[in-house]
Amino acid sequence: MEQEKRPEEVKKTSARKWTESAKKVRGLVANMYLRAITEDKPVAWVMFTLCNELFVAMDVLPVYPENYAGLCATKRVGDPFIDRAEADGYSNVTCSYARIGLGYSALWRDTGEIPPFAPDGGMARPIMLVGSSLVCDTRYKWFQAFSRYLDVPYYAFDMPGPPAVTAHRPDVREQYMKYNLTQLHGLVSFMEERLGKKMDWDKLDEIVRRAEKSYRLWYDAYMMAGRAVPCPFPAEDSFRCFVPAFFMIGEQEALDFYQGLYDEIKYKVDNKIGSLPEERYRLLWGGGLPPWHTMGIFNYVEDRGALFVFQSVYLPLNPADIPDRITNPLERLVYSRYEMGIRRAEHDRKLGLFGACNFVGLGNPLLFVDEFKVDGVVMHWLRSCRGATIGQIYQKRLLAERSNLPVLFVESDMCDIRDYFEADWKMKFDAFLETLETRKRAGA
Amino acid sequence: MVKKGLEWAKSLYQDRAQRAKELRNHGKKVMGYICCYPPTELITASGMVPYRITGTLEPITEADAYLETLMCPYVRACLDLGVKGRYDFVDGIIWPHTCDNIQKTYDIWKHYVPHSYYHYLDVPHMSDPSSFEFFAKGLDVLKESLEEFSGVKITDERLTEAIGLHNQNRALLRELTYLRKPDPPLISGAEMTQVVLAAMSIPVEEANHMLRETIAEVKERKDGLKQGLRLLVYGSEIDDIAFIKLMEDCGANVVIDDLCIGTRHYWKDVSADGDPLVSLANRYLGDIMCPRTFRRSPGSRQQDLDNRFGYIRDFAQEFDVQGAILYIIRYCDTFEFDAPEVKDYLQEAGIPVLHLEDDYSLTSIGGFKTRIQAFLEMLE
Repeated sequence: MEQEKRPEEVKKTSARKWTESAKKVRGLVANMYLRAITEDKPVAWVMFTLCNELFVAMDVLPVYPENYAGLCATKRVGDPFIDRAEADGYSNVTCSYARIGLGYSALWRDTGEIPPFAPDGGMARPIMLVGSSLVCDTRYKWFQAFSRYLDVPYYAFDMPGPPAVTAHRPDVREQYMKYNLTQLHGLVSFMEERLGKKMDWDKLDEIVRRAEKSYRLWYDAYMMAGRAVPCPFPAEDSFRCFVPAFFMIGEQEALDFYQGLYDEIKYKVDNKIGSLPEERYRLLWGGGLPPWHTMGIFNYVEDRGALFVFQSVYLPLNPADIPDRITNPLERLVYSRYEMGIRRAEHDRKLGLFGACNFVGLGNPLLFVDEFKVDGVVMHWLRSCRGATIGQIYQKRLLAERSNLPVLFVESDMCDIRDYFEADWKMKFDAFLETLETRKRAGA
Repeated sequence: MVKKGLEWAKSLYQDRAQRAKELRNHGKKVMGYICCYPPTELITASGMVPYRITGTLEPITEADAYLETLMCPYVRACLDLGVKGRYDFVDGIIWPHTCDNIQKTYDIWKHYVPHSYYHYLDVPHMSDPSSFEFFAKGLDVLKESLEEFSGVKITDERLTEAIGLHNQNRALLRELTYLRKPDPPLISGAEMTQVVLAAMSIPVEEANHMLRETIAEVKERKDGLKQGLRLLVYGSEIDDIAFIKLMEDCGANVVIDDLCIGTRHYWKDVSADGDPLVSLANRYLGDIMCPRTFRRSPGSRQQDLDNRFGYIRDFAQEFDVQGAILYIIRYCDTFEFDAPEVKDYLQEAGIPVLHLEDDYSLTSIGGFKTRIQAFLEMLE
């Protein structure tokens, strides 16, 4: 309740929005939670799994606790949840999204009520939990831990990405595609059993194709913006605008959103409308999730003439041309995910990287530094997120092998503000910008 | 003088690479692997020596230039040794996707630690029929790759023979473990860790010989350990005796463990029947009880907990323990998520628990000593 007394302070944590599209996202998010509470439809708590389409097709309202944790962080109301999870034994280095979600569930179980300080009315009660191993271990472990507090059936599934070295082999391709497809069929069966109804495959097909259009618009809009000088769509806006793609994909609302985003960016690019009067320094947010608790830090950098013209963290799915022979919607879905994985893997392989991308290409920052004309790269070490932190030093070394771009590491956490030291960040940014200025003057 | 039994194990523990280097000088290839999941049977069947990659408690001095400090310190310690050239005698490496920390270090290892061979093994996190099929296919790709590197065709006969040897190895380790059941136990926890690590450092046939000698020696012991509170240790990569010795120096006996350098490595055999690759997939994915593998709930919450942790309770009961210590390596997410539930589960089974979180280097050993002493006093 304390947070309600300090709206001004809360307001200052967010970044300014440069596009009309970014301004719409908050409303979409609020509506997502409101619908789940007010509409008479089954609710599922879901980790981001690249298959929101299935929930839309089954008329289930998905609620994403990781998004909700981010919301709590931006509103700075995450602490009581984090405290509770830690009191229940969860280490302060476990994912802060998870600690917020677990603490929320614990407090809810204790009182039988949604915690009163929960933003947007809270997360509605689910009838099922769905997690996956996509991207990181927390995605299935956290939801398994929910069973401590919620007596709700849980389905977890794998969606492994192809390893760079063997991704091109037909037998490996078949191995991965077959497994991913079987795992998704398992999810469909689980949902059918929970809901007491069968999947409408025609409806799913329509939704998957709608999602494909949305993904393409999302991808085209982001790439167009990154290449543009001046940049009309800085990273803090794209950190907002991935939300419909991650959590609402398949819905008409998401398609409309990305059509609007594409149109808006195209208009600005065509008319050379940027964000800052002068882009003295173009920066890449090259790794680590943003500090949701203090997005206003982006304004601090902008006020000093620097703009994050791109972020390589929440990357759009590289849209695949799905062959016409693939008509089954689930197969289309798996095909596009594999293609996305294989493209990142192939890219990594060309860079001399070898491993399993698991959909997180180590070469991501390297993809963009030349094409997007950046002067420097910033990466964020997250105390509670291995998935987005491990490999950043390696990426810096790879960048150094290929260019002399300066890289700045900052350290805190995506949600746990106790790990954030504003003065330290500002001091680091000041010094970094001074370095960039010196290089600019030296003609680097 | 040729060392035997426990002395041999101790000597290998103190200089793990000695025999592998010697064999390499005689033309054998040494294949490194990290974590419990790469099937060592495939390495043995290819005529190479399986060698478990571990870390060390010595300060990390080089890995900071390659890996973030906000991640598993055990993996960092392994890479530290790698970039210092301490694994230069290893011809190749098999790197499994067991957790984020290990998976994401593969590229870095490959870039900065020179070997002639690298193989990434994807291990599913789920344990559905399709997961086993996926994993078996991955093992088939690994087999093919090992054949190419070693120049040895891994026939079913060779693989079946290797499975037999490794099953013997596991059976011998279990036999030695059962010598911890008497009160006082015939072998200490620290000695057991030495033996397990030693057995991971030499060819399986030699390890089996060492284990037979050790078992015979331990059975004959007259100057056994002192009686003390009997403890179970739960955790992951304890590859140094310091922590276990600390508990034993405090007057307890560590009589059973659930550790990667411990029972998790040897408690379950590979079936000798059927397609050997399928048997390997079943054993390595299905029977290694690591929280990185998701096991579907068979029903109620209690059934789920029994399915995930019942074996730890069974260990505790079978080895008549009076308390359990959870040693969780910081940033090891899969263990960090399970630890609170393991603690609840064991406590509900009447087993007192001390939950410790550490950075693997044991720099906080002084503080741990106080906490362990207090825990033991509480158990008295």
